[in-house]
Amino acid sequence: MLRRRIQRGLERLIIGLLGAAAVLTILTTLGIIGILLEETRRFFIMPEVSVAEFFFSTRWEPLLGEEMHFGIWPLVCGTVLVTAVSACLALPFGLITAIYLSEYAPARLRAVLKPALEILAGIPTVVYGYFALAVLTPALQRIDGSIETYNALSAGLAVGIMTLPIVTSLSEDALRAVPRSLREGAYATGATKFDVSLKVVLPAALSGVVASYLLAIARAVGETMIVALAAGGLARLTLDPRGQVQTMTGYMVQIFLGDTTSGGIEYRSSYAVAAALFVMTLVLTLIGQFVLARYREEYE
Amino acid sequence: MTAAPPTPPLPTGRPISRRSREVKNRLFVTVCIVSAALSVIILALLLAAIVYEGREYLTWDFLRNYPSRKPAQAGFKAALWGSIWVTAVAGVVAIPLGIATAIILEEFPPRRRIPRALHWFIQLNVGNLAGVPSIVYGILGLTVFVRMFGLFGSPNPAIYDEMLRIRLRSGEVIQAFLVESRGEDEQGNPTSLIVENPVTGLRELAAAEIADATRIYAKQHRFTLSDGRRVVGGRLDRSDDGQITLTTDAGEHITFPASAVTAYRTTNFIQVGDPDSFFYLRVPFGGSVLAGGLTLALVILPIIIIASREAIRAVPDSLRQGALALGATRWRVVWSIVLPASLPGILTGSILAVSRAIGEAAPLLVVGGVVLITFVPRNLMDDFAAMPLQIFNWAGRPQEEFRKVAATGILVLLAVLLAFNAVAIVLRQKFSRPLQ
Repeated sequence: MLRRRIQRGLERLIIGLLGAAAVLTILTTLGIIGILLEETRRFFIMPEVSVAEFFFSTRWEPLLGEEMHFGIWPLVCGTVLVTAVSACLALPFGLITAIYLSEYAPARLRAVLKPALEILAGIPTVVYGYFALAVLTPALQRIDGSIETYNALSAGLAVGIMTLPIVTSLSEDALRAVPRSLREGAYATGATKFDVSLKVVLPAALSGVVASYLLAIARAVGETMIVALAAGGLARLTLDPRGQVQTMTGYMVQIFLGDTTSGGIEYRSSYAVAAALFVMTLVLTLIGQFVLARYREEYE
Repeated sequence: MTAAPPTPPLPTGRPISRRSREVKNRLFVTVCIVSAALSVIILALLLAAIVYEGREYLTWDFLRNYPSRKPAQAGFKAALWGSIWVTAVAGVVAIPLGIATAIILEEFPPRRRIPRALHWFIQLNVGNLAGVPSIVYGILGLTVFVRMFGLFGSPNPAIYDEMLRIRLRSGEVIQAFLVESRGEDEQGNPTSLIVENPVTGLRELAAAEIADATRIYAKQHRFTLSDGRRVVGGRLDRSDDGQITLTTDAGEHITFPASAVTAYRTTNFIQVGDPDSFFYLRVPFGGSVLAGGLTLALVILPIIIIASREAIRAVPDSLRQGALALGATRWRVVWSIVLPASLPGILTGSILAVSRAIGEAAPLLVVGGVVLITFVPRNLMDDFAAMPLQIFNWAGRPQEEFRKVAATGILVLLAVLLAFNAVAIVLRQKFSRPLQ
């Protein structure tokens, strides 16, 4: 009897410990939000800074001369530009590759393609940064001489290569989850494989594909090492991918690499930028999760 | 009254012939193959470029040497060992926590309302954490682990003085400021250092005498002067004529000649143990192995949770029900049935997560900064270098030669990752028989 009670108590304890581990994930989120809010608040109460300037000014010049400007838009613009270039590569090619893998590819080709994509997904981002700087940029410069040493184009392409496997694997999962009966029904009406893939399977898996797009874009927005190496360090409000831009993550790297003191204004500004970055990626992943959850309900 | 919906216009003209649809299909297959080939081509190109650039410096010396100003002598030893230390900490912390969270989420769904809401929220939250950019985790690690919210003062150059803690081959340990490094051997490292301690004064140390040196942050300087006074202060300034100015934490300046000092010591952090031993701890952690490892643990935790949950979910329910029918408690079922059955999946996911940690640079950059490290960590409180950070540092330099060194570093990094992934693949192949 007593042994049984001890055992009971022990099990309760273990389950409590497991629960504590789970609660740690919540603490992590609360920690991130709390720290970003507090440091951002301290940034905004500094006399050189105003909330209005942060959201409405188009100049980000935190380190230049006596007159500092903290308008977030040039950094957002750099991030959006790099993300857009990456999306142009990753979204269409990722989806087409996913359709090919799910609907067309013979087993032999799959055996080559899947590992190749897995390896691409496992390569550290700093390697892609090196690739952008040492291979892509010189190659692009040969095509177009006006491309600068640091540019948004090659950084964006490298980010696109990095996010391509994310789109492919998540989209393929979604396409494969479409029940066979849908395909067979379409074939029975005389449809070709092309018709089945694009007009039946793809629409049925659309929410999964959209979720994969959103998650890939979120990863591109938060990507750091590639842009720190290849995109440059000048915050500019431009849509020309040939020149250098600074992204939000790129600015944070610049600050944390430098010798700025921890109470200084540049240092605090990086927390404000981090807060903006966190909000952007959070919104993207939340929508992605929401869409994904809905699609899961449909076919299980 | 509502109008009847307009009927869709009927297709006019000839119906699309079977043939034209077949052509379309074939065209699409071509597009597909081109697109799919793209990823293989990119991978081949990337690997080829790295092997081509990196082959020149790929020697055993590359693994034995410390970083150097000369590309030919630059080595990866500190980065390799630093990565091993940091990743080990991350794995040891994150894998048990991740599995525990996955078990709670999958095996113990709560029935009451409030725990159920918490359960749902944790699930949602794990998905979100997986999407948080890793540099944001770096900021969390910087505030929580490196600085500990500034509760113990901040390791900030404005408050802390940066000193060297030098251990000599004779066993003597010196705390001193670096004044100058002199000479240059063929590896590009200085042949001697001139250091200054406020009591013992200037001293020249030959490189051959030095066993190793660590950067420490001294927060407080305590002086005993020849007239019996004790002076305690936060910031130290030494002028050329031998005057020392101490600035106390209250902002008061105290000036006295260095010749009047009879005893001097510094306090850095709240510390336990000898800085040379393995069992040395201090708070706050500073930019140390422990801070870096814990930060990486937070980065990979969601990945481990998601992979473990999937592995646990794949265990057939019949196994659980069988065990429950035999009178096993729920924890007994988890421990004896579910965990053994899902272990291969959990292990594979954990190995992949750890290999992600090996390649992560951004959080470590925020936590530790890119510093020139010429030693292998001895304990959890030492500064560290890491492979991806060292590669970042080399790749970002303007000299062409250092680009090649960066490529060599990438080769080593990829080899380590390949070894990890090979283990994961073997595990998956060996244990992936479906459970009946």
